[in-house]
Amino acid sequence: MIEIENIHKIFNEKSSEPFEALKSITLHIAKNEAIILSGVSGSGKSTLLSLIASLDKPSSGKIVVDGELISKLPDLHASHYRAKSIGFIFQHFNLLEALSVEENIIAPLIPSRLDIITIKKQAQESMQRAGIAHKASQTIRELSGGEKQRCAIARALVTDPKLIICDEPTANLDKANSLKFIEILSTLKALGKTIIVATHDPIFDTLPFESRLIKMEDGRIVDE
Amino acid sequence: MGWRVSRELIVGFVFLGLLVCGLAVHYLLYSTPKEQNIQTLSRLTTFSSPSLSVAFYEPRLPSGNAMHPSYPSMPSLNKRGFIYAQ
Amino acid sequence: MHNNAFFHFLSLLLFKQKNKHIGAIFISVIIIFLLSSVLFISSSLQKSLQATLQNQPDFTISRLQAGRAVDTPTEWIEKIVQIDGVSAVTPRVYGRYFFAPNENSFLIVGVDFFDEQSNRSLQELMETTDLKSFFAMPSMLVGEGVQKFMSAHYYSDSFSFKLPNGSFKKVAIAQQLPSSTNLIANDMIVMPLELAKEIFAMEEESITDIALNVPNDAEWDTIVGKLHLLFYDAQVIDKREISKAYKSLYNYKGGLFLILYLITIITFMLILYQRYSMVYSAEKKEIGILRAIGWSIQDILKLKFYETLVIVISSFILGVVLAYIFVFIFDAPLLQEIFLGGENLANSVVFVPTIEFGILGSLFLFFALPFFASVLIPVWKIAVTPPKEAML
Repeated sequence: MIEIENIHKIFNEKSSEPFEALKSITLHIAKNEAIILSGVSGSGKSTLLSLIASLDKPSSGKIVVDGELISKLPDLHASHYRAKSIGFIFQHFNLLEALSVEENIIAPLIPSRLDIITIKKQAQESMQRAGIAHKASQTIRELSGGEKQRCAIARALVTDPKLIICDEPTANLDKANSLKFIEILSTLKALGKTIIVATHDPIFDTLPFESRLIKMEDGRIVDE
Repeated sequence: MGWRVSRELIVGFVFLGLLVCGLAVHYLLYSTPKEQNIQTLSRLTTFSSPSLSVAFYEPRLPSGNAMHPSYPSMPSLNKRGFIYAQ
Repeated sequence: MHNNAFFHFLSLLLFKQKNKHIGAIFISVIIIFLLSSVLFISSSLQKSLQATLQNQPDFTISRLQAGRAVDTPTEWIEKIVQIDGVSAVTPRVYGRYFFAPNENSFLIVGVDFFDEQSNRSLQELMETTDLKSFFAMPSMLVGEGVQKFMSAHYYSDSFSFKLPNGSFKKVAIAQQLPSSTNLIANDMIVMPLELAKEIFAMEEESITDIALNVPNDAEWDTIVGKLHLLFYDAQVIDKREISKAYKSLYNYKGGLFLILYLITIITFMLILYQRYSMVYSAEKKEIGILRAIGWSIQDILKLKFYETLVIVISSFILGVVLAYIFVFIFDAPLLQEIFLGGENLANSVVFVPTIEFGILGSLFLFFALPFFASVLIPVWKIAVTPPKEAML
């Protein structure tokens, strides 16, 4: 499903001190696979995730997702790809604080040209799946960390994406909420989603579902 | 729930629309008789200059003769008699 | 139908983040309010003055000696009447009466009430007082400002004018001129021609100036030439000059004022631009999040465009409507003094509603275009950076 061929990512490329965050990464991820990217912070996990999610472009190399070369997509197509195929769960949740849970969850569907009734129906389903439906009308400011996390999950699921990407999803959660999160992940896996998680949380060492652990260090894959 | 907010926007625009309509009605229905008096008066007096509330600006000559401070024997400053004298 | 969701989300963002927009709306409303108040007042004054000018004689002619206006001899009238194409030659007597103790002055206008048309106009204005008593003793009609001034100085029924020969002339106050005439009559005293002459101690054979009409426009320049040939020391003022003077008197659309408006608007836009391009603003994060969850640059610009459109339109309408209410319903308290002055007699005029749509339109453009630019340019700059950076 995802073919990553020899990608490099260099920050500040034109300055006197360029920084190479990813060095010659090659990786193949099959459909419905669960990948755990582990490594210390600064090892390049998040950068790799943002390249796969087309939030940024690699300096060289190519990324092909479902036969589509996403590393060279122009903005309009990249946005469309993000909206349709990717559900991104961020470390800091990145929710719109002033809006309510439901309003945050409908946000990814707004450019889709669906009418508001369909959008709300989809949002409702997604909230139920993430277990946050009971807080639908509360604003983000009033939620606890775990609830924010579930809201972020619901937002990631609302477009029914094939690929779920999580960047340090449990970094701001306590043990109980982390376990709950893993539970949700295993349901998603059962639904046939492809999952990529970047983390250094040891809780991911023992997962209730089949997964592939990839260790990263200094911008390279060291252990697969 | 969410529809309520949309309605707020509509209510806001309806309010602005009403303001504009009110303005238009006032503008179109403004009676002109108030203007009529000013026309009659300007016809009567053949005057139409605005009554600006400005200080009296006509030349007012100071009373008495102002002496030249340095040369008291010279003609006073506020007289232009030497120009028009026969 | 598909736009529904978009406008729904737009209104969500607008109303849930009211505080973010309220400052910009508030300042916009104030700027629009001030600018359109000034424009409303000036166009209303111009319109009223131009309208009164229509009843005015085409020419006035007076004697000028050594560049100074002096009394005009009445014999001129007979000579002017002889000129072909000239009609309605009327003598005028007027001048300013200076009330020295208070440094105030009134405009005394003498009117020949035996003239049929003047008599009719007088009757129209004097609905309450009867004409017999008006002519029975020396009487006058006074403007509102004069009336107020006189009653404040205990001259409630009559006023004693000090004549140049040192004696006093008592003149009864017959009536106050309607307040709707304040624009031209606030400091005006209307009295019979002979009485005015007596107060100014004018000789029997002299008047202030002569008004005349030339019905055929094409003849105007010829007549002016003839008048100058007849009287070497005449000053002829034609209506077109007065019209021009009124236009420039309240021309608050150009010159220095235009520059002031532009400075105001540019300053405001710079503030807006600064605000939207702040590096760590909430705006930036919001755009980054929307980009990350699949909004394209185009979608972001569309959202911000409509958001700005709502703000621009509502603050423009609010500002203009408030200015209209302030000027034409409350008669512009405070601002009025700037236009009419407050040095002499305080004036309070009624503004006749006048809207120059062309000017309002250009005001909207002057306001809206820089507003859009100062919001959309920084937004676009943020939107084109990778969402990952914008979210930080």
